[in-house]
Amino acid sequence: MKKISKIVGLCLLVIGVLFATACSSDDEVIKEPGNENPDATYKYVLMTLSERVVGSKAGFVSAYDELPSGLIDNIGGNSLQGNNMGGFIPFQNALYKKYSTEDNANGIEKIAVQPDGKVYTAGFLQTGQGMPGSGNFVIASQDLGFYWDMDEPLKIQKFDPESLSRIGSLDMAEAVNERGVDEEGITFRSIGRKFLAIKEGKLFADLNYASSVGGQQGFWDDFYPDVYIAVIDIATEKWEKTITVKNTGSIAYVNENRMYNFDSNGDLYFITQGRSALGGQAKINRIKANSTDIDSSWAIEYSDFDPSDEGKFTGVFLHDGMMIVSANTEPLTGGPNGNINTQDIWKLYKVDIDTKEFTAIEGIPAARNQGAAELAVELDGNIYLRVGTNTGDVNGYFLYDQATNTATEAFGVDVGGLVSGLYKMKVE
Amino acid sequence: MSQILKNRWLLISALLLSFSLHAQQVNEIQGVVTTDGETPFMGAVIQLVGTDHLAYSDEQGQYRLSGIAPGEYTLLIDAVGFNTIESRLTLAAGEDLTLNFLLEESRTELDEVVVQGKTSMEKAREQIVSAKVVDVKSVSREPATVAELMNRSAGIRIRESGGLGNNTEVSINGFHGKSIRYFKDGIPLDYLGDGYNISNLPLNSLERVDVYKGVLPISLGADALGGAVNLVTNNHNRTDFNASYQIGSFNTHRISATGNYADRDRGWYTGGEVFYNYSDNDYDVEARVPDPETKIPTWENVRLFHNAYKSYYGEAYVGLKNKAWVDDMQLSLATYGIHRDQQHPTLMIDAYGAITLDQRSIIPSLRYKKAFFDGRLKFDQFLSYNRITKERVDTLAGKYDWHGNFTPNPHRVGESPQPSQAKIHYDNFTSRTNLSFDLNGRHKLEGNVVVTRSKRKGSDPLGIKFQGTDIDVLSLPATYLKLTSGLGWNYTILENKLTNNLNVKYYGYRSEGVDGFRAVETELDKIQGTQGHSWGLADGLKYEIDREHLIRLSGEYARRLPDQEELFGDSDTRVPNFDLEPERSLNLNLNYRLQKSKYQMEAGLYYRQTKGMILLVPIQSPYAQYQNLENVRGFGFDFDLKAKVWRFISVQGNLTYLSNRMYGITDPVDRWKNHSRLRNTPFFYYNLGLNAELKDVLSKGDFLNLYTHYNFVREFYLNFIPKDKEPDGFLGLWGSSKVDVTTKIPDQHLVSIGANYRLGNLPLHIGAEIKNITNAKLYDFYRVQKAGRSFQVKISYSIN
Repeated sequence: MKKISKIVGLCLLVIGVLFATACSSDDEVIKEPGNENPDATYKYVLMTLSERVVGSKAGFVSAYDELPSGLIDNIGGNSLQGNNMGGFIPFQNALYKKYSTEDNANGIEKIAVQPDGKVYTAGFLQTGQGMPGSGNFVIASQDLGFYWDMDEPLKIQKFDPESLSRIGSLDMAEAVNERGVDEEGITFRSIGRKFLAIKEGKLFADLNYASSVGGQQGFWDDFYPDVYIAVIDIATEKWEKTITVKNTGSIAYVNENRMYNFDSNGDLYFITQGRSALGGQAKINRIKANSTDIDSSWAIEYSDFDPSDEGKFTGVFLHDGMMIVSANTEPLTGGPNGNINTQDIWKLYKVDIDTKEFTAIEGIPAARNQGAAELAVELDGNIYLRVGTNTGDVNGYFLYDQATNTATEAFGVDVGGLVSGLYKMKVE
Repeated sequence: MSQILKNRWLLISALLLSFSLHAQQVNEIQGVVTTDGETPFMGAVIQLVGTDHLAYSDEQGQYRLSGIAPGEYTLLIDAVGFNTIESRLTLAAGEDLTLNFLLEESRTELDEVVVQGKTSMEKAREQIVSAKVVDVKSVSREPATVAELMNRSAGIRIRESGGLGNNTEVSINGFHGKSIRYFKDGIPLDYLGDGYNISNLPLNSLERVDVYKGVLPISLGADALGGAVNLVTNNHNRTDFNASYQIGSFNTHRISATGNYADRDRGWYTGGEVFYNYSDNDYDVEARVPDPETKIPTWENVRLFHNAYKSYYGEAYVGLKNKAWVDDMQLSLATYGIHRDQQHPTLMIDAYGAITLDQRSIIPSLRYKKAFFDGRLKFDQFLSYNRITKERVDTLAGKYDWHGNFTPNPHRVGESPQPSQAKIHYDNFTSRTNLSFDLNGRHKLEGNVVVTRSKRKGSDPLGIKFQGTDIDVLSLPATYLKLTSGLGWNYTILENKLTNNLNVKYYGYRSEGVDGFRAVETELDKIQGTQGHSWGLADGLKYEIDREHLIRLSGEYARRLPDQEELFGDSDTRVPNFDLEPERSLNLNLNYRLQKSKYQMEAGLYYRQTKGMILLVPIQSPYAQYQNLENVRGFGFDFDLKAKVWRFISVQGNLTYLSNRMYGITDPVDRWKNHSRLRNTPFFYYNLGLNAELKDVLSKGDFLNLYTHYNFVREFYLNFIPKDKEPDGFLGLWGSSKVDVTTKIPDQHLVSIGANYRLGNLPLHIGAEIKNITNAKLYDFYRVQKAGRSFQVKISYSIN
């Protein structure tokens, strides 16, 4: 009996490990790769955005043997300079971004590091050009990822992250056309343009119904007051259902800041930015582990933070039941002199998930909109917060102490631009 | 000697003397120029030295100078191949003279001819404010473009984005875009839209191009920050006709004709100009083509398939001269049309197959000139009112790949991020008034006022609507009124060796419209307005050491006013900013010129300090806005040399080095950019040219000109890199940057060769040119590729 129990226990353990591996929850993507091989060489990779004010978003990526400290120059002999250095999405031993370094073309680009620290572009998958979000992607495993291509807006494309090649597609026209087929006010419909997440073998993809025309199509112009998310079974590649977030708008965004994150227990938290660029009815939503439905019993409304509801969230980070969000400290203003992207009004708060209490993190100032960068990263068992003010008088990563809810500067950047991403990777 | 005679047509045409001083309508000198007492000589230049009285002998050898004030003069008769005749004369009040001249053949070789007068080209080169004068007329038979000629000049780069008719900008000492202003015969060129510019003009249309590097003369009324380009057309003093046809690679056809009839006896003239350009521009480029299945891109040589350009321009004019109430009045009616296929967005990252751009206008204009008070007060007025219509169509439901294959896509309208059925009208009013008063022969005052008003109104069913409405943003008008004025004082001392010119300039603007930014609660009946004004100061000093040595120094506090689009946006993704300030710049120029009989050399040095340069800044995706952002400080130098190295071989070369660098950045995050080079701006380039002129090659009287040009542009960067990461070596001229820069333009080499041949004594020329003979990869404008090797043939016919 004891032997059987051991065998059953061992089997359960193996199944559990296999299950955990198979699920490959996306939160692993942003965590450190681990130290499974003590002899492996690791590099700390830092991206900085040097051209905040012109269209190409140029910048630099550099690799370091140790986590930088003090005030550093991020432009070295092994650095890579190029376009669209506002942020990246890491996976295993590479960085991925949604535009090419060379000429800012839409697609998926892979950046890797040589053992000598030289940073280089390791491949590019090209998507249709000209529409933000074309190239929005998520990586499920070493050999499977999904992305959206504007040339086939009702499909989700499959790709191999290693070779950066397209390997097929999922036709989701049925899911998209479940509603609004005869609505003349809908000018464009798509699936997965802004939000693609993988959780427990399911692919979650936003259904976008735009109401405007022109270059701004798809931005703050949701036809419906609710946000729809298709749930697709990855194994069967079948659309299973569509779940709805009521009375909000503008799920996530089109850049490398995914605006969603997984807690350590597998809960998925994602941001809907609200009715307009100025927010309003913005919220953070949850799909609990082992569930494919919106947790209707839980949401953090922006009005929970600010009763006037004049704002939105721009980033979210989870770790062991602790949530950090970025929210505006002043009412958002639009127009030519608006404060959204030009003023230090974005502050990081620790949020109690149960009580929805917001507590400002001490030791860091309100900063500029994080844009395409993620707000935090976990490295070597520590949480580092990204902080970059408008002038750059504060520009670096801060080590966060959960116990005291304070952050102290780990390093700052003097040369190279505004910090836009930090990661630790193994180099071959 | 015979060679000289055979070249007289060519060289006489280069001896067009300029009109610069003043006249008095009292006397007349007329006569006949002959070679042997009987044979009339056409094309001799007859000039009263030191005045703007100039005439050419016609086919009967006759000439006439009228409206001459009493006084003592030196009369100069110049005809190439003949000795220059110089004659002193005194003209009493009311006296008319008849003077006939007999030309005597020159015994000197061509390169030893001493021209006593100064051609308009030379005068332009020696004006107080240093200008680079691009001699168009003397090379008008080459199958080249105005832009290509300018590219061969020191301190000037032409930034092109493709083939014939492409978007072309002049970069002067590193400044380009809106920092540079364009003129046609001193009139701001905006009213002609894109119908008349350096990318589509045939060489026959122009006499020369004056490029001012930083400091502008008072007569050019503009708020230019970094310089100006003045296209100087042929004058209408004589009867002539020119026509040319050019055919070349990429199905390129260029046809042009200009003609002028002048009846000097009756004091009127008429003429016109037409030109037509067409090119498929279907040259090969290297494009990134994704595999249809894997989407892995590879670089492939593909042929552009939707890059055609077609344009026409026609102008007819009639004028009166030397009447009691007018010295010169010209009424002109011009029209143009442009059709352009758009092959790709700003960067060559995608292929378009159906986007088209069209533009057209009909432009009446009037120019009136009159001198008063014995020619001491001169009045010059230009008026024009026209409507430019621009259309952009991007409605295709589908997309093309780089091979021209079409894939329907019913889910989307338009190939580009901005689908469009835009039709926009721009109503333009332009007035330029120039008044000069000669105080005493040494002191002269000059005033210049330019008023332009532009009103934009249009529609775009696929464009932006006011928030919460179906009202097209373009349907509500936006207006822009600009005043540019200046007062100048010009004086000469030290026996006319030292000339100084002091200018004070005043700029003002007013703009009105409705703020179309969609994130703002818009009150549609609320017209918003903004206005601003600014002062400028300029001084130019010229010292003629002797006939060979000339030194010039000039400086200007220049201003550039924000324009309508910068203030009001483009009713698309560029949103308004009513808080923009004028760009400000301190420009200093030093220039030295040495003129020898066998060579001439010119060297220039400049310093610039520019503040508040207006840049387009993303503010809230996908919107962007113009803001005053950057400060640039720098110096540069250029050097130009032309020399005759052998009997029939001449060489020319120039080089330019610029060191325009950022300064005054105080934000800690960007402080490292201080001392970085201005991005996307070439900083070192040089040109070399070799010319051979041969006569009697195939037949008696023929003429063959062989030439080759080489151009080098040093690699430059599209984004900032720190100064300490720039290439090593003297002035950074060797090696590569010390960081792996993917956004750079590599070193570029362009070699072209060509030949012109004149058939005997016939006024017929055949020119042929191979451009980019090495088929080198050439880029500009954010790495947009230009054409590889191409062939051009041009036939020109001219009678004078």
